[in-house]
Amino acid sequence: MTAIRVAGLRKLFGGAPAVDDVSFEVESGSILTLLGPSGCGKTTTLRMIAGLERPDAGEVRVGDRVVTSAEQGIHLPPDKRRMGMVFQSYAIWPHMNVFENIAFPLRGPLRGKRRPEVEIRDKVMTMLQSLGLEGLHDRPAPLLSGGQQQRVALGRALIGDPDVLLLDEPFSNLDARRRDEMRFELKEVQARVGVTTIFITHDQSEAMVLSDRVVVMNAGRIVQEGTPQAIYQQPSTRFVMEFLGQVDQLGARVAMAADGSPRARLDGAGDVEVALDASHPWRPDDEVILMLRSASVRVREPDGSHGWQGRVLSRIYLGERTEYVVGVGAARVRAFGSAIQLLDEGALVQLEFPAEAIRAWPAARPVGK
Amino acid sequence: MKRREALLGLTSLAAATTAAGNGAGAQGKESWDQVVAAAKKEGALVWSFFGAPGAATERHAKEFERLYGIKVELAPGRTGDFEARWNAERAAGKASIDIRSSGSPENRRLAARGLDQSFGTLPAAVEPSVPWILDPLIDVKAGNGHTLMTSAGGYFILVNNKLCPPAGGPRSYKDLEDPKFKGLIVLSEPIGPSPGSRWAAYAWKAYGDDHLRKVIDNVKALTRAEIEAPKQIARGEYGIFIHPTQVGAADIWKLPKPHPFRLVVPEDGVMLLFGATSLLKDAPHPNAARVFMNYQLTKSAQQINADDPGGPYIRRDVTPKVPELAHFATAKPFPNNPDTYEFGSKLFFEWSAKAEPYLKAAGLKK
Amino acid sequence: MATAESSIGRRAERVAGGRSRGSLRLETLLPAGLTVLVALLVLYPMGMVVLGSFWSAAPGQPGTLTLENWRSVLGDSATFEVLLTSLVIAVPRTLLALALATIFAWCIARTNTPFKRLLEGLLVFMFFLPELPWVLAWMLLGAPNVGLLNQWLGALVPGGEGLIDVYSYGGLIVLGAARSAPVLFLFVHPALLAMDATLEEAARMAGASAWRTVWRINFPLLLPALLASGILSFVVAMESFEIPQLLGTPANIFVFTTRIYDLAYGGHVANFGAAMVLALILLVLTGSLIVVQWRLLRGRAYTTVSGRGFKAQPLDLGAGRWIAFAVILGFFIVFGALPMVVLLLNSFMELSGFITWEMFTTQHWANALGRDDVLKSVRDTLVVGIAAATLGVVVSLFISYVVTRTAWRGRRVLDMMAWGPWAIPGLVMSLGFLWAFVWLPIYGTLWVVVLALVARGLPVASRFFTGTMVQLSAELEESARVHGGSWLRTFLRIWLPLLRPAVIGAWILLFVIAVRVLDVVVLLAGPGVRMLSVDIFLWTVTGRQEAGSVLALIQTALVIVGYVAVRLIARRTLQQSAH
Repeated sequence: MTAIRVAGLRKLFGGAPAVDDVSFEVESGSILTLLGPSGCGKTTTLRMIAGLERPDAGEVRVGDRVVTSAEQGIHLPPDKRRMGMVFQSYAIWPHMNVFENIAFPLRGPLRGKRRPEVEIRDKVMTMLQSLGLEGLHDRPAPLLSGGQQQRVALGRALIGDPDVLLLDEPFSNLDARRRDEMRFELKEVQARVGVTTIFITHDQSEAMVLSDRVVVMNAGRIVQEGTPQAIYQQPSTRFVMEFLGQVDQLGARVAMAADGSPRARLDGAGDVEVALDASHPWRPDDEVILMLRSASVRVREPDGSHGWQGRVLSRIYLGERTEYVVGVGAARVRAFGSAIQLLDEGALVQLEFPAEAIRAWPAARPVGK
Repeated sequence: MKRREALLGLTSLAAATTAAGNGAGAQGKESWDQVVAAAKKEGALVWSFFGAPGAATERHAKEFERLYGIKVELAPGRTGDFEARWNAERAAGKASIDIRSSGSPENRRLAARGLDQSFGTLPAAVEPSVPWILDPLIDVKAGNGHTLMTSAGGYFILVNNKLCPPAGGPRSYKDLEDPKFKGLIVLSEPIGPSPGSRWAAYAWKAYGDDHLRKVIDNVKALTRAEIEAPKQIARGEYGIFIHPTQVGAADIWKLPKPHPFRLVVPEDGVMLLFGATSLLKDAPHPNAARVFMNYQLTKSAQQINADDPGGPYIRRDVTPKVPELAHFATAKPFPNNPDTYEFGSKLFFEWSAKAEPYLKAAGLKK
Repeated sequence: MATAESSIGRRAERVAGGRSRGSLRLETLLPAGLTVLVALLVLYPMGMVVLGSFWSAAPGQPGTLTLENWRSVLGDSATFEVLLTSLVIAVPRTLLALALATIFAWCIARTNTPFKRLLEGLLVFMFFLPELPWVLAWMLLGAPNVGLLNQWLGALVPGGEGLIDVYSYGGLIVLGAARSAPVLFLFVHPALLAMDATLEEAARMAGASAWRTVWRINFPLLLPALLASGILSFVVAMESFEIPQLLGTPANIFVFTTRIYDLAYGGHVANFGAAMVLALILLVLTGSLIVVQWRLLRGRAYTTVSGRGFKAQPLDLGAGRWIAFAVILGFFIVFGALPMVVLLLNSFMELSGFITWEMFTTQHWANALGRDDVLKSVRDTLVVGIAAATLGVVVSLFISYVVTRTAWRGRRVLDMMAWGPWAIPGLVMSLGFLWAFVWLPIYGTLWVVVLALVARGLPVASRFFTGTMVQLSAELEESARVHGGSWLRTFLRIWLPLLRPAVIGAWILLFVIAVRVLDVVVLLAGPGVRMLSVDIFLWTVTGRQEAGSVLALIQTALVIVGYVAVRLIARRTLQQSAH
């Protein structure tokens, strides 16, 4: 079932569109991630969903309710949308203690009724427990650590039993170790509560870990949408491929094979070729950009076969494994090798990677799908 | 301290005798030239006076500078401001003020405390056959310090015609005790160094406790802005003002006629107020001060005073700007007008203090 | 508090760590030198006030030590009656002003009220209006029956001429609040702007309506700032003199300050001793309030992890935004424009308060503009204003630095001393200054006035800087020292540029105070020094309001010119340094 439907959202800042024609749907109970570099419009999109920003065009539906529609002039205030939100800064109210911060959504005349104090206390205490914040209920908010603030923010966002949970880069203020922990914790809590969630991040690994679906945005527009695997394995544009992981770019030119199928021939390494998508109208000698995901490339000693061979230019010992820079023709390729068997600089090596780790685009424009 | 006072007394006596003596004319003339020369050498003068710089005080400063090339620094201030500053300066040995002009009681108190000094013989004060309203040397001649009388003014009754029509309005000071004037009167503060104090003292002296209480019962508000009060009468904020002309110009006479107010010259006589100037102890420019005090008594200087509507003057041979306000010079004076040295230096405070309990009872003072 | 203490100490240790051994350097001499200077400016005059309360005559005059002043004042029931009256006026005045300022600031900072910049400018403009002529204009407007407003009202509704009476408790409270509100606005508005907008948004997301958000989030967050500025404003209300003197005494309303004035200046014999006692009672009262305010600020200064700086979406007031606009504009028209227009008209009338064509004249303007002494007043006022503001900024900058950035042992004392001049009514402080400074060789020159004004401005300016300095990370300074900057170079190259907005703000504030203030200078502006404020006082109090109006308008123009000039200079230097 579709819980949230966003259609044609558009927001102008000073005449220039910050968000343009953004549409997507979120399945009930799933996590959708808006992924993109800073300034891509993902936060503005989230704020329009939250009701903190008014779109210039488009609409947002939650279930069967239209919460925002520029065309119909509907703009439900944020407090009427039954959403919970974790802000990037957490926005923990410094004049309240932990308990009051979390209890806040329960104290309003939400949905026309006022909850008894006992019920509020029970709910908040349960929430504190599930967040691992037992015993901190009367701590003043300014005395909390970053991780604690984040949990309080999460508790506050969830306690009112919202239809939608909005997360605005909730991990960016945490150190790396806490970040990893909190990712799993969040995923667990979300799965338990089953709340439909929209998550914002500029960190592709966060998106991969947490999301059911990912929407990649750039310059205010959606570039690609899909499951994490689909996006990672079939990036539709160079931008997406680059954004989703470390990539080496290799210059190549189109050459037709004997059977007429198009191949990309690596510059300066005549015998290294990659098959090209035959549905694209390639012309011989067209410039091609090859993009190779470093993480998938392995180094081993050459076995005499032709193909991706080069010399080790430099070596970085990382403990768990070893990173090499290998010169292949005119290009430099990063690749990984075993931590035990080290190859020396200057050694001839063979590169190995699965077919989907390399993709080719014409130099001027991306390949059509 | 005592010896010094005695010494000062002697000099003033000497000054008085010189002034009175006829044969001393030539010698006086010669020494006066010396005084003027010394004054020009001093080149400056600081003149403190009660109230604000007005048209007259500024004209005096300009005129005096034109005549003698001596610059006059105006230092306006009420009694408290003046005393606070001057006392602090004297304590630090830096007295900057030369002369002080104020109501006669303030000057007489300076004299009684020995805070003034002899100004010697002033040619203008001993000029023969000047029609003085009051002899400027009255205190000096009596051996009561060194107060020079420089102006005279009077108390009139200023009435708003709308709030208090002529029929049934007050005709005398005595009438003001009538309960029908309740809530109409604005009164210059009748205790402390302000013109209203002298009204309180006179009224008590002439008509007694009961009169003072009854008039105060009729008072709506006290004021310290004696120049603003006539305007308030003209605008109709209050009905009756016991109006001292001494303090400064009554600008309401510039209003187009018919005036919304009228001036009542009291039938029981005009209460006279004298203004005076003292040469202060430790004055840094004593000679310039003496030349200025002499200048104050000249006809041209007195005419400058009279050019201000209601401006106070002490010579009858000037032409007042608003003749209605000049009655103090000719009208019947209030019986036993008590503005004497004894009154100014001592009784004034005792008598005006009689008003205090009535003011408190009427809620006009805390 | 303990943590704040230790962190200040820690910072300072690091700063002091760069000191080379044995040599006396600027940074070590500064705190002590500063304390001596502030003691001279503040403690010495205040000491004179204390001495005056125990002396049988004015300080400097022959007399004896006595408890009589204290006995007579404390034994007089009137003392407590006037204190009560003062409270009855000051409390509602402050609350009303605070409410107005908060509402105005909120509308301008956080809603979609139209023409915000204009409204903000108008409120700042009101802060510049000189008090005394403003009150006098209100006497013309609001006198019962005959006041201009009452006449207009009377023409509209029968019996309307009796509606307004400025000579009343209501008049004192409302006009007092109208004076205080623009000043409070200057304090509250930045606090509202600085508030993290996501805190508000989080409440909206947590299901709170706009109004509940205001009440539960904005208001409590603002409370420390409101309390702090409210207390300062309350102190000002307690010390206010001109308004109660001109509007209160005619209605037989006597307050603490008018009582002080009565004792010091009103009697045949100045009773300075009793006046000093009253002032010290007020000092204890206001001083303890200031201590309360310190506590409030120290315990509840919220620092929050700041977000990405999303500008908060202004709250949509709907049609109400025009009401908000109309209310603020109306406030300006009634309490800012109207009195100024009356003042302007008055300056062209033969006779103050009689505003008709027949009375039209330009002689007051011709007089004022053509006179040497008015020009001298303008010149002296400008020189004093610029000198006092500049010196005041330098001294308070150093005070704030020592107080917030060093571990110097006397820094709390220094901080407290800088507060002194705020807690004593200007009326009495002026006597303290006189008695103290008359002994200095500079007495009788402009510089003694400058000194007094610097002292008077210290509390305001040092507050200004302390607030900003606390927010700046100590590492900024430390990195400069580590990279070879001397203390002075660090101060000039790091602190000063970082504090530039505060420096400009404080300078303008001090300049305005210096040009406007009356009580402090009235006894010091003796021969050789003329101040516009004193001239205006003398002219207006004794009834020459037409000429006083001219001077008041010149003074207002001066303040605004100073404000604009500094703004322009600041912008130019900013642009230059950007090249």
